[in-house]
Amino acid sequence: MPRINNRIRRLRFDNNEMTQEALAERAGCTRQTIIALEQGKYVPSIELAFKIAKALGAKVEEVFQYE
Amino acid sequence: MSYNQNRLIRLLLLIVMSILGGWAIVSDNWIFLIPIAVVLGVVPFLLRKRIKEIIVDERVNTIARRASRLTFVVFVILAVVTGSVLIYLGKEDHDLTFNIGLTLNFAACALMLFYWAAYFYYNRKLGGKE
Repeated sequence: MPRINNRIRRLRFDNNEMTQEALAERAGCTRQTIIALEQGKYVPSIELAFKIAKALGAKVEEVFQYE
Repeated sequence: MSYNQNRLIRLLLLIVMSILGGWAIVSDNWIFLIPIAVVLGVVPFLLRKRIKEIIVDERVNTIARRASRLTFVVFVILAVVTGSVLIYLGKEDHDLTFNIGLTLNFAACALMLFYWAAYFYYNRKLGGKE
C-alpha cells in the first residue's frame, strides 16, 4: 500500500534542533500532531504539509515523499 | 492563559455552579438556575477565547469526525436492535416496553434523516453538485 513518508525529525534537527513545540507553533498545529506525523501515524492535509515545509525552510517535496 | 490553567478554571467554575445549582433546586429557588445557566453557557466560551496556544487543529478535527461517525453508527444499530426487541416483547399489551421500543426506533430514524440532510448540505457546500 502506498504511503507518505516524511523527514520532519531530520529537518528539525537540521534547523538548529528545533523543538516539536516550536515547529507546531510555526506551522499552526498542536505538538501532538507533530509527534503523530513523525511517528507516521498521521498524514497531513496539503495545507498543513505546506505550512510545515515553510516552517522548516524546505520545499514540500523535501519534507514529504509519496512511495 | 495556558490550556491547563483554562481547564482548571473551567473545572472550578463547574464545581461552584453545580453546588449553587444543587442548592437552588433543594431550596426551591428555581429562579437562580437562570443566571447559573447563563454563567455556565457564557463564561467557558469567553475563557476559551483567551487561550493563546493552539488546542484544536486538523488532526483533532479528524479524530472528532471519526469518533462522531462511529458513535452515530453504534447508536443507530443498538437503538434499532434494542428498539425492535422491545417492540416485539411489548406487542401484545402495547405497554411501556412497546413505547420505549418505538421511541428508540424513531430516534434512530430521525438521526439518520438528519444525517442525510447534513450530508446533502455539505455535499452541495463543498462542491459536490455538478
